Amino acid sequence: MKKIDLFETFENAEDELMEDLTDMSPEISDEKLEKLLAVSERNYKMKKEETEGTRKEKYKEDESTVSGVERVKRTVWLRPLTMAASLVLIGATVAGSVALLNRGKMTKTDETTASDIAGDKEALKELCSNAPSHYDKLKASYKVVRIYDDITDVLDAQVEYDTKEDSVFVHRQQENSSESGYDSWNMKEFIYKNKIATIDLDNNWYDVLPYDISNEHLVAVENFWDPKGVFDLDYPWLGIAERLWSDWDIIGKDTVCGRECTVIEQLTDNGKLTAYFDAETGVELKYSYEGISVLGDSDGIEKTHTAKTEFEVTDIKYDDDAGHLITPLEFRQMIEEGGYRSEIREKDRYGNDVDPESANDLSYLGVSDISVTTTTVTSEQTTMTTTTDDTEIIFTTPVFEEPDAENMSFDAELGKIALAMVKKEEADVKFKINMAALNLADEYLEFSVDPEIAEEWDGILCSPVDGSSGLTDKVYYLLVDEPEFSNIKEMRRFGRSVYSANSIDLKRLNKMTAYLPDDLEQGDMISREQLRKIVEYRGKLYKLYYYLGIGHLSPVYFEDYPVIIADRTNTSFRAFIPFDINYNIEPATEEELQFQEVYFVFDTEYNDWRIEREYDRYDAGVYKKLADKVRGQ
Amino acid sequence: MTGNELRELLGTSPAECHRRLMKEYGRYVYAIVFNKLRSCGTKEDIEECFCDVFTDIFLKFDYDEKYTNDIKGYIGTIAKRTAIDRFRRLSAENSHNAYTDDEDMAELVSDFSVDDHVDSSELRIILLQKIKELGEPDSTILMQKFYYNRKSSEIAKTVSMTASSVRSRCTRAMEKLRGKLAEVGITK
Repeated sequence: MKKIDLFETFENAEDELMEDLTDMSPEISDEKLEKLLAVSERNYKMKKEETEGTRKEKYKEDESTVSGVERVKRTVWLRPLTMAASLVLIGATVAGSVALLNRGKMTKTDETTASDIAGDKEALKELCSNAPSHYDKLKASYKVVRIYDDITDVLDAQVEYDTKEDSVFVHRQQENSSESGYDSWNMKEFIYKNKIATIDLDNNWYDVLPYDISNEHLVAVENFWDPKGVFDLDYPWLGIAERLWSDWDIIGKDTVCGRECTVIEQLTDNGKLTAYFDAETGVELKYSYEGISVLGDSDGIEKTHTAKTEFEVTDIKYDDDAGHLITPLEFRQMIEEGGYRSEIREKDRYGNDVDPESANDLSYLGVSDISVTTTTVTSEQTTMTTTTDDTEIIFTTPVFEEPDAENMSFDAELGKIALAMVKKEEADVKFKINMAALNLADEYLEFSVDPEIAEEWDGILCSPVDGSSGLTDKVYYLLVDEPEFSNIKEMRRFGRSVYSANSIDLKRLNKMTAYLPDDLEQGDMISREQLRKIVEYRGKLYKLYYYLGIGHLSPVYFEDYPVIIADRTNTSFRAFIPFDINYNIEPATEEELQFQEVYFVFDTEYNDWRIEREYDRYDAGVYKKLADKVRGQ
Repeated sequence: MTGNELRELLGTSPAECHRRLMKEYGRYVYAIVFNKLRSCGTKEDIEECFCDVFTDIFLKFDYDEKYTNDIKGYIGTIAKRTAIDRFRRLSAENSHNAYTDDEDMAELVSDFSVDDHVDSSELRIILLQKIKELGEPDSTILMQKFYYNRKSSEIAKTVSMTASSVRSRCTRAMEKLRGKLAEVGITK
């Protein structure tokens, strides 16, 4: 049996129950409505002004730079929808597309000399066909609005592309509506090593499937960062890739999100296409089409539809300006820390069977090989050994590297942030997670364990039945009464409120926890990975029963002495935070002070600073020496 | 009002259109937002999120012309998404300030036992059904008291009773509910 709080059961209810919950919800009084309306109206007006200002900038035309090329009518291949509610792009359509590509005739009647245009066009094709060679990193936000007959598909996305890692991260929020219905998606995807790992944020699942981005039929995003397929009629057809006929014109220049662009245009009887390419990198920054589209439906029958597509990059940064990009390992950690359910499909996107045994394996995204030793851990932590993929996490403290004087300062703002974060770490994260299972109920679980694994716990495993310790083949978990956290996911997320995704401390915290499968029965054998301090089993938290106390004593920080900031960049800095490891509550002299050396990184997921690693420095006098250096500047 | 009717009103009086939108869908949006943020947000967080949802709806109404008929599904999705984003932010900030009532009747609804194999969605359906079987005003009183965390004095205005009558009714309704739940294996 499990214990529940009756009305908490309704939290995160299914959509179907919302009507009932709405009917039983409190009425909103007229007075309250007016207050809430006033707030919404105020925010609406502010955002509308911002949007109107941006739109005017966006559509401003520089007529002096548009060349006077006579436009001619030509046939054009049109972009189909990715996930249209009632249109399905099938494999057979690929073959059909070749015939469609050849539809219509091309005539050229403009007066500009052919060689002039050809030269510019060739240069443009060369630039765009090798776009990724013109940058190392790209971070961008973009929007795509596609309207096909009565179907409207709106995509807002952020993308990060690392050319060296050959990885792509996308956060995609998409809405699709028509007379037949409405649907929406909120997904994060990571394309790497011919696989795509997907997190469905609305429905809390993830999966990993094969994915060849260079030959992908239904691509997750517009491949605007690598538009080589645009100008190459032999390029494998992609559902979203822009394809142009052999005849199109450069019509001038324009600016898109601050980048100078070369603008091309193609006009046919079916419609008009305009595209904008970054003049420096060849990345496609904007595209618009209006006209008709011919697509195959789910039965392979071609139909003509009205079509309008607007794609635009709203923000883009390259290389150093792009800052940190999400790495494969960070994406893996995002999945693991998010507690998403592993969703196994029967078939992948290519129609092949998915092997449930190896499905959704995240190891290809990397494994952390950081090893760090420290002498600062509490006795509880020193006696605990944790393993990650059979790798023990050990801690080492490297030798202190003193920064140059010119790279140090008493930066009050960053110092305040740093001090607040380490205090939060001590008072909140370490305390709450260590104390997460302070109140233990009488109810317990008993499992069997391999004696070799039990030995790794150095004889501290105990029994609540008879109080014996040094168990060798059994483990007991006691139910946590009134836990600090509802579940492990919440606990791990709490750790992220202080630690960066790469932090060894976060790794250690996460390795304190494990999920026990619902079908595990008492008496069953548990594995090394399941033998953790805190486990979640059938919706409840349990703590491993062992004889050491939980105690944690926080160091004392002396705020009369300033935090020293060193090696500052836009995305990282080091902080030297004075404290006394002897937990003296009387202020020490500056000469006696020890300090914590804490490395901070700017975490783009939370848009805030996070602790990446930290070391306690015990030698007296070092802090004073550093402070004197700063003062002597 | 349909999306078309609202859009016509938008042309003549945007402020009135917005008022009608909030009046018509306010409780629905509130129910969705509350459902997501109940465990981690304060009353102020919930109201702020509610306002964010409507700001977004007003903006989308201005710039998107596609929602001409039934817009409830669309509004529901915006509400859900905004609330989930806010939930994530509040959880990351560790805002565990639950919106709680100041009257202590919590023990009436806690510590119920249910079979391990009953999953949450099944439990919600059963619970809701048993609550509705109590009839009005008891079902509304219980939900507004223990789920929406309203004070007895606030509920009293809704059901045209005194606060003390609401409290007595609440206790009796919970006894009846306990009996009904025991019949289906949910016991205290």
